[in-house]
Amino acid sequence: MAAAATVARRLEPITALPRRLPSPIKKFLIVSPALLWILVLVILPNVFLISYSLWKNELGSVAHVWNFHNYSELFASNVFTTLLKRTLLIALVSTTCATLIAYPLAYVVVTKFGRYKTLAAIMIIIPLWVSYLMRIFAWKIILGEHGVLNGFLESVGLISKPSTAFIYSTTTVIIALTYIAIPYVFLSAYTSLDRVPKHYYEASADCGASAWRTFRHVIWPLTRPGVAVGFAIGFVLTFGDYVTPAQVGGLSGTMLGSIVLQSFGTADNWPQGAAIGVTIIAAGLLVLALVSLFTRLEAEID
Amino acid sequence: MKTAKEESSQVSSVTSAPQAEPAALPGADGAPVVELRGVSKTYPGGDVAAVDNMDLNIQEGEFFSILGSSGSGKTTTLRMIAGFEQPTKGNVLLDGIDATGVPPYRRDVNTVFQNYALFPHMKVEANVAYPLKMAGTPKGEIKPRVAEALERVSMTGFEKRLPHQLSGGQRQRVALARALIGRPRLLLLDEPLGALDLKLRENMLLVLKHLQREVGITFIYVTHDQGEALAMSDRLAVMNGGYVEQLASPTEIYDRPATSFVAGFIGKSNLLECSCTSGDKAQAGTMPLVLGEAPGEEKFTLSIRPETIVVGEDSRGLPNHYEAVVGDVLFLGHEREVMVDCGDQRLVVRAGQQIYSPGDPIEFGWSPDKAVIVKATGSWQQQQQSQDA
Repeated sequence: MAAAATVARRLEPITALPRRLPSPIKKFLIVSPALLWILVLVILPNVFLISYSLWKNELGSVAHVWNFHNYSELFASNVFTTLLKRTLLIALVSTTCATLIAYPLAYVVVTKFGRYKTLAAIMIIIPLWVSYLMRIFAWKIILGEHGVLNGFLESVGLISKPSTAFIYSTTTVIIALTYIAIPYVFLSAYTSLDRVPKHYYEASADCGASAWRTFRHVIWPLTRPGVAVGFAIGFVLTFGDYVTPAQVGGLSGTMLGSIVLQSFGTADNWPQGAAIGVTIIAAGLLVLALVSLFTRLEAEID
Repeated sequence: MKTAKEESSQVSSVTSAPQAEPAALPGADGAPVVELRGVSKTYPGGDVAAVDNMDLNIQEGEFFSILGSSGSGKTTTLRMIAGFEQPTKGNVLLDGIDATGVPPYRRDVNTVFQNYALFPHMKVEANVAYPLKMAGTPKGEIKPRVAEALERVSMTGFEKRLPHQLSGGQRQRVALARALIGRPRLLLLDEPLGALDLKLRENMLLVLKHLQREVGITFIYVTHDQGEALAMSDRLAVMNGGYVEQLASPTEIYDRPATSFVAGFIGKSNLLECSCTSGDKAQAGTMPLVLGEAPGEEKFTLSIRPETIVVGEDSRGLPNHYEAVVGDVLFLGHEREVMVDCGDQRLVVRAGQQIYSPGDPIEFGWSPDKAVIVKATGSWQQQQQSQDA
């Protein structure tokens, strides 16, 4: 009898019930920091922005009257629609250029640099460490009227006096924004290319595929989602930018971001600025939705 | 110094390994499908050669295995034949034509990778059809051939699956179908069963053996599993530290291991360090021995397989007959393994169904022709190095 009791006591820790699952309150407390973050930094600002865009501007003060006046006015305005088209064009062209440069770059780094690939990747994204404004000013120094490019062309005798053609134009904005977007697209492309195991390249070569066909049939389909994500990041960045057009764009390089700044600043028309902001977000989401069609991949890389 | 070494090893183009007499080859009259001539490979940054001055001939229709532990150079050898690695020195010939420097996609060679390497975004049928597509096979021909290849590996009905929806064994079969569909001259298998569990592995061994006989393609099979290599191969090469220790048929390798490494790596063996006393008499520690033939050297190693040692009264009358004491007994299911202490030597013998306990007296013996004199592993390497110096 006593022996049985000892055995039972010895068994106790094993037969004891496991600890209870956290109560609903506890669960809520665990997720509350994340919820708070989303509420304060994502939901509330957007609610404010959308509300403002639906209110009315009365000589600099905001009348809390709900209407779509701001939007109808915007889309009736020639200036706005021109700017919207131009901004879309600039963002698409510069992100596409950035992708066309960054993806082959990432491919070469991943496949040809061997153990130096991390070093090479860091060298390419190092510009991100430098202040955004400084990088734009660097372009000003290169492309400006008394800039490096003009100086060079003059010294080799291709032009007789400094040209103003290189700066303050749509092209200048595209060049600068391409440059801004490259590291982001590169990072995304590099990550997805680096995830493709070496033995896929070998298996494809083993099956009789040249490097180009290996790329077309195996590597590109597997890395396309990563490139699409990089493209989306680049697009969002360039679409909403206002520093670059303000610095190197001149009048013909003005983008939507600039008039958002104007509306909230000098024009003191917050509802209109909010409406433009909402339009920018909507356009961004639209492009992201289109891009997400390319991110789908049924496969799992093991 | 280095050039001197290179020169001398080029001059001494005799095989790098102490090979036994060549075994009878199936179809030995044709040109070898694969020939390695003095092939060496040193990886950049490494100072030791992964493969060192290797010579190899593989014949049409052969099931050839390369056996070795990790780091022995067996996979490097295979990768050089496939074209994924280029030899630092020497030549790789395929069908008698020098293929050194030819990229993998232009070689009539297919590989089954250890991790299968099926393309994750392609369905099974697309994976299997891939080599045909790359070869420009007409569309109408591809479909029936894919069906045929899948049927051959019993994977009919899985055409529309993606690789990650298959089990390991199924992926292996698909990889096999993909490698065989182009009817290559040569199939390379890099530890293809390494990731499978035991039951599946045994099953796949039979599938492979069957397939090879059916399609008649030359197989080169790389493995670290001696059981697989012995069971499957017509011939096998045992590699160690970048050298071929022995190249022979499985029975030859098992019965007459060339080096102490081979004797110890394949199966179990009693290795006795002996010194010759006179003629065919020798001494291992305090154990006197009679040999089948006079040893060439004064000091040598003798390999005796446990199962060639006769235990009990039957051993009386054998030239080598000893009475000893049982040290330990291991019960292995189908038999008992007995460690016996004889003088200062410890030997392993097989006791069959007889029951011994530690401390029991035991008698055993072997006939001299069962004991094989083996070279010390790496002895020819040392010789080569001393020549260089």
